[in-house]
Amino acid sequence: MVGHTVQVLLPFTEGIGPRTVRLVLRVEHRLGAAEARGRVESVRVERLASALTPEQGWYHSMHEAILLRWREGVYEGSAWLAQKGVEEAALWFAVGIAGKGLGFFATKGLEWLPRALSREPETAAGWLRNALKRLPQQEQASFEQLWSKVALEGEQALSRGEREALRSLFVRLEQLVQQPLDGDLKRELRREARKYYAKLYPQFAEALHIRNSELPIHHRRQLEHAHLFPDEDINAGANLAMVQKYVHDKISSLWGKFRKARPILVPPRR
Amino acid sequence: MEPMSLPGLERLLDVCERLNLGLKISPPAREPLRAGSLLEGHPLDPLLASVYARLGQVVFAYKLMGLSLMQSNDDEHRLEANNKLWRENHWDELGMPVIVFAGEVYTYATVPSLADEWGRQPVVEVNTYELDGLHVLPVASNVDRFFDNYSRYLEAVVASPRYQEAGENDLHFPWHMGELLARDERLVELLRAGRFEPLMKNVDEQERQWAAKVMGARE
Repeated sequence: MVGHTVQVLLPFTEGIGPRTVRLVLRVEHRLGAAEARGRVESVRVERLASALTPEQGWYHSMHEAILLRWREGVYEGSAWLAQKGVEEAALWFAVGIAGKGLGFFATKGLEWLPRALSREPETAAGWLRNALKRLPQQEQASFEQLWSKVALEGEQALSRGEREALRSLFVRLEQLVQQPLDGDLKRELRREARKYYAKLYPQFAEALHIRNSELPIHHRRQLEHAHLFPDEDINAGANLAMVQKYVHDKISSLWGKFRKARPILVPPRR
Repeated sequence: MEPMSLPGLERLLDVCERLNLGLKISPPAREPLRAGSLLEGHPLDPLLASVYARLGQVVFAYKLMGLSLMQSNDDEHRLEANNKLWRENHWDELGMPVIVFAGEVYTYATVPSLADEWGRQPVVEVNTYELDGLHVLPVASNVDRFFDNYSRYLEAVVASPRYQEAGENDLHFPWHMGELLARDERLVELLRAGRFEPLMKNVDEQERQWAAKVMGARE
């Protein structure tokens, strides 16, 4: 009985903090039978007494829903995260960061990150997903690994070295989002913009695939100016428009004239 | 003229099927474009003519937002229409004619003035998004080599750790395939001889370094 109970409870031990799990067992024993028979009728996580913000509530619910679906096995947190894909992972990270409160990073004097991440979850996740692309692949992997640990096991699970590394990555992100995008990143963001647009407007997905470069996705706020608005997601849906190529060429040509007339300034310190 | 053989195209079609990356194919025209027939006054590359004799339109690897060949068959003449637009909007700035035929995020085109003795034209990538003008990168010595290169790019994507773990593609063509392009001897020869220089007026420092690596120059 104890063994079976442990099996049922195991998925709930995935590091989301202390929990009370209410288990209802039905057990039968017939007179003369050598063994009792039993089964788990239901399993439920008791809600925490302390008040949660809507984002925290959402985050915890999502976490629990995912764990409940995986009663058969226990996944390593990072393996689970990798399987969720970049988009869901970003959503998960963004809300988790907001949920934990940015006080963790406030001492480093971050300005743009807290502003970007304090927006509603989907927007913050979009920003984070695109901001993380600024980091080299290895640093992206470090960020994901360290933040997964915080999110799944709690801040206290980080060693001093890990805590410092995570803080440094946040500082690095803050610096990078204020730098102009290079060609490599622009390519990546343009590709991502197409994917995202096709998702937002599935009725255009086929045309976007078939006609590809003939049907550009135009950034209303140009990628060249993205670093002047570091807390905004340059690939947010509101910034994207599908246009015929000749329209895109005309718009680019106008921006080109603007660019020649005015030098690009760095954002003023606020 | 007999259609030229297309081992690179075959390889690309095979890779898309084998790796389950998606393929959408439309049939060719009843009377497809012939090699040497004129597009905006310039001869159609013979390899491209062979492609259009087989297929009217293809999307390769659409599950990855892949590469699409511009349509030219009895249903649509997008290849012809797009080249008209390019002649009107871009040839002056480029300084020479190019014949567009495919696209991903950016557009792929052949360069008639750089054709070899068999009429095979090299392929360049043209980025029309930048505000300082058209950015051109050389990509392959001929159209079939272009398809071959792209097939190897797709294999690299699928083998990459990011794709294996999360189904995400963080590699770009041709940007991350410099070493592959460096094995295209005729491409490297044209680059070293400065034949792409007039097209590459607007390249930035990063692109220049990339081209230098393809050429095998020291940094």
